[in-house]
Amino acid sequence: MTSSTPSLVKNSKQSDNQPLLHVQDLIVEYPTSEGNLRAVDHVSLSLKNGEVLGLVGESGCGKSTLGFALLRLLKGGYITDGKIIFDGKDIAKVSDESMKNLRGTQISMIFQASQNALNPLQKVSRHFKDTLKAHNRWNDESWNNVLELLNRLEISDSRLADYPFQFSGGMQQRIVIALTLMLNPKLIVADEPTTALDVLVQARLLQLLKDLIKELNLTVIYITHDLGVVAEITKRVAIMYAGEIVEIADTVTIFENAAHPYTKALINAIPNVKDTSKKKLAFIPGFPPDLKNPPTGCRFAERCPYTIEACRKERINDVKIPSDTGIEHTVKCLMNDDKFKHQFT
Amino acid sequence: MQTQEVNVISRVRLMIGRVWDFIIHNKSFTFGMLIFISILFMALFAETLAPSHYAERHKDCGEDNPYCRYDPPSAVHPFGTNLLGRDVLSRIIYGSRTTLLIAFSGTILGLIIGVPLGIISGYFGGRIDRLFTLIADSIYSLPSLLLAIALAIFFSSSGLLKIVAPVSFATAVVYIPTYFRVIRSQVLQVKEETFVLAAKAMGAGSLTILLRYITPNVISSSIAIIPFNMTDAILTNAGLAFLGLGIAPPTPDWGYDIFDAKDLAKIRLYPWLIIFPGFMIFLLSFALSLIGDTLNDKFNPLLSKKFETK
Amino acid sequence: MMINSSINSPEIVIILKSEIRDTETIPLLKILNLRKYFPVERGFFQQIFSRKKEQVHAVDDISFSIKRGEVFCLVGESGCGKTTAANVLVGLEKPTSGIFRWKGEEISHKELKPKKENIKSQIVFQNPYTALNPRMRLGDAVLHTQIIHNRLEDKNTKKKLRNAYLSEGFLYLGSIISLILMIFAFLIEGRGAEVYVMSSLGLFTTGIVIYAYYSLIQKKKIADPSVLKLFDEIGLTPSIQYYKKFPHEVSGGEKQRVSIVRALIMNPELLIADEPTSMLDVSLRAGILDSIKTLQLSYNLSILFITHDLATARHFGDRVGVMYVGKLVEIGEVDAIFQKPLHPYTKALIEAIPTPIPGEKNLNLPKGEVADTISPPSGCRYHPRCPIAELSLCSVEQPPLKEEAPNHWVACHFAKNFV
Repeated sequence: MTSSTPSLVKNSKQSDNQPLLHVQDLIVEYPTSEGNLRAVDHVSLSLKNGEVLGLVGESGCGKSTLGFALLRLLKGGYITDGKIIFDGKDIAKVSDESMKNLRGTQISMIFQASQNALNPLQKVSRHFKDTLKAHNRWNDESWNNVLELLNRLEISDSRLADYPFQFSGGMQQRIVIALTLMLNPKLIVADEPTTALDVLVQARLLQLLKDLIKELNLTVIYITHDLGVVAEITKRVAIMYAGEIVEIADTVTIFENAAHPYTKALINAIPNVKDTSKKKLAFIPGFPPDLKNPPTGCRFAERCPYTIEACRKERINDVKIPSDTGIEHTVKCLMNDDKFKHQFT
Repeated sequence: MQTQEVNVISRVRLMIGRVWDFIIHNKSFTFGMLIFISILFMALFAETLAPSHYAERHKDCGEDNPYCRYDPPSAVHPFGTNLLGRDVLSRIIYGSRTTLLIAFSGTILGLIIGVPLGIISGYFGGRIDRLFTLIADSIYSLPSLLLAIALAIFFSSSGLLKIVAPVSFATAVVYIPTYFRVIRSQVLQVKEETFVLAAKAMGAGSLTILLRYITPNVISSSIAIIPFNMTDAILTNAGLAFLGLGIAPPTPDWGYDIFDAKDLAKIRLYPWLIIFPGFMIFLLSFALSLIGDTLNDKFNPLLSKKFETK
Repeated sequence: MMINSSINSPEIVIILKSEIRDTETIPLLKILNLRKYFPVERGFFQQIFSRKKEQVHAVDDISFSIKRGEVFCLVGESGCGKTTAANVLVGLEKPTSGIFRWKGEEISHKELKPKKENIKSQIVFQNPYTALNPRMRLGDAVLHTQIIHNRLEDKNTKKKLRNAYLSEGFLYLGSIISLILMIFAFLIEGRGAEVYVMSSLGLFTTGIVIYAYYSLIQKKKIADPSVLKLFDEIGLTPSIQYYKKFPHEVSGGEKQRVSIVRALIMNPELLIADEPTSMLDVSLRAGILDSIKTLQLSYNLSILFITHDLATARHFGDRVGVMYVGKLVEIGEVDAIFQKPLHPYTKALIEAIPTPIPGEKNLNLPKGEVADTISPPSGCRYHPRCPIAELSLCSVEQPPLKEEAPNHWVACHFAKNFV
């Protein structure tokens, strides 16, 4: 398919060692009347070209804030410290003007309710034309690419003259995805793109996304709270809790060999349809800490069944766990730290 | 017991801190409130504050002015005197009573009628709603001063009521649709909320739902209108008095005092007669607008939503 | 079952068992041929030029029963009519047609609504964030059900409540009298009328002050023991603190627990739970379901559990009914439905759920979109998307819901082939 469509440009595989995105000790804060709320706290991660990273966490854990911070689209919040090195540039520091130029062409975002992004009074074709014109890419060739892409996303040419409301929610989401992919962004941040959809529609969209990712060698950060979706689409997963990434590893390891108690608890909490044993689902007692005034030690300590004194004392550092998959496995938990290992029973 | 006391102290501290925070963040509101409260204070303690009674005709303002006619501001009469030798300062202090009475009664009348109508109309909908909305829309087109003039002619009595009645009636009538609309649109929104549905599922009747579930959630949006309503009442009063349809002479009123001094010759010769009452009207309406602006930001559903976008 | 474990004597057990069987054969609620159509809201021109009256077939001829003490799950995609069915059963919507049998007795739809002496069912809504009145304390929100039906038992609560009501009376009475006084003052004219204006203003202010005093101070003191007990049971501890909190002070999970308590305080026999966990975080869901289960056992509740999440249905339910475009396509025991689904739609649904097992999956997803509820397809509503449909039969004849396997009802012409 890709060979016949030269312009559905496959992202080049050059410089595989150099990460496309490298986030270092990123801090994002929202000022409130009761002090600053640190939604993202010292988050570090890196992403290679063509990688699909799942960013998983519960509501309020800062996963969406992190996504928005990558595009500098924070509303009411500020990046107070840290680096976001994208393609060799620190985009936490570039001017608003050059950031504007990066958005859409280099980094794109797909939102949960991005259907709302479609103008109800404009035909669908108009959206594509306007976007292309705005980026000075309006020519026959690029239009053919658009048609190709839409075809790939199972939206036929004949429906281009329709208005957005004539499409179902799933189709609107696919149109938005086409609009995003059309400009060949190097990095796509997808913020719960399938959450609002029905089971069957979601499954179909996921399948399409998976195929597209493979075909076009897309680099995606997939933000979701649904571990089931993550298992289907991503190669690597980062688990967020209370503003921190508590564990990051390849997907199989996360599901089969998780090291952080929070990850384990989260996995045990999801019901599985294919599971025949009627085992009781686990749940995590208590609530996440207040991010305006977070605890000094481990943020999961209050809800964790294994907590020891050392957990509450000071900031937990990332611990590397040896893995045989070649993908780094780091975890923010003392249970895996050689110094403290023996204290846990 | 002890811990409870500590709790109370810390709570009071927290409250003071919050109030202070509010003052710091809403300086214009605080400023407006200070002016308003001092005028309210003036009205309540007029007897003590005023150097003389508002109707007292002073004498002996020097040899050339035995009846204190148009005595310019001096230590004895800081704001001067008028034609009849009455102290302008005392008249201003007593006059605040009239002004505030008009402002309050006009507002409360509008509130008491407008809010329940809005709630009923919004909740029940249908024909009642259409009728009420139609009436409200037609009243909306009436200018309050014109209505006040018509009513002033209708109320041919003397005394304080002569001006209180038409002005508060007129402003109330003109502001009823505003209260009605704001409350109605809020009710339309709130009645679709799940908790109203839940109340229905609990078996609650319409009256219970209206009183317990809808009214408490919509009433706050009417607060934003009150200061504007009061300002309008005060200005209508001033306008009416200026046209000569206002209060009878001995009763103190800012508007009447301006009317009294409106001749061009008088303005030139005795500017204090018009400057001080005019300034007071300006000050009060200015303070109310400051208060109203802040309240509007806090309670107006349309404005507060704009800031809420996630 | 619970009774069995608590009684040791074998004779009594036998007697009780037989009694239970008797009552078990008669379901708590049997719904027959329930239909609910909504008129389509049309545009101005359509209203003038088109005579055709269109209707949304939200629920179209469904029959099922809820047994005593069981969890019956109603599963389907959004717009399939499951929420409408729930609203009908709790009395919020009037059905177009349908027969209801409560414990074997036929009742009219009106009798399903909660009344003072008879509260059959209560509902827990999907969205906990809007389900509670933001101006009511959590405890008061629960207590209010009892107040509405005048079922307060605690004398202390009654007394304090009376005081609080009195203060409200002052407010309303004060404002009405002040209004009358003011109008009166304007009408009588002449000297002395301003006294009425002043006194009406004074009365109005006094009313507000008394109201503020009592509703702020007196109402705060109310803490009904029956509410506290349920708060404790559902895990809102310390209950006295939760009683006095406002909804915005607690999390979504806690709000949903309060909603559940509010539904259960009147001891309904049927609890309708309309996607109670779909808006909550994964880690909290299991906790909420756990609490519902515990309460179900201790109060011997029957639950109609409505969800789009089949995985939850599998873990929580006893029996499942699958809906598609207003119709029930399959009813059966949980294990039977999930291990051996007979309807092609159920199969597709189960297959489509993302499972927490990484790796490649080959899905056979149905083509096309969900059918329109205004003009649903003829015959079987699933036939345009169905992989096994035979147009000559499926597009013409509507398959009836038949018992293809024991206790397993399917509406498909070809279900026999899969048994």
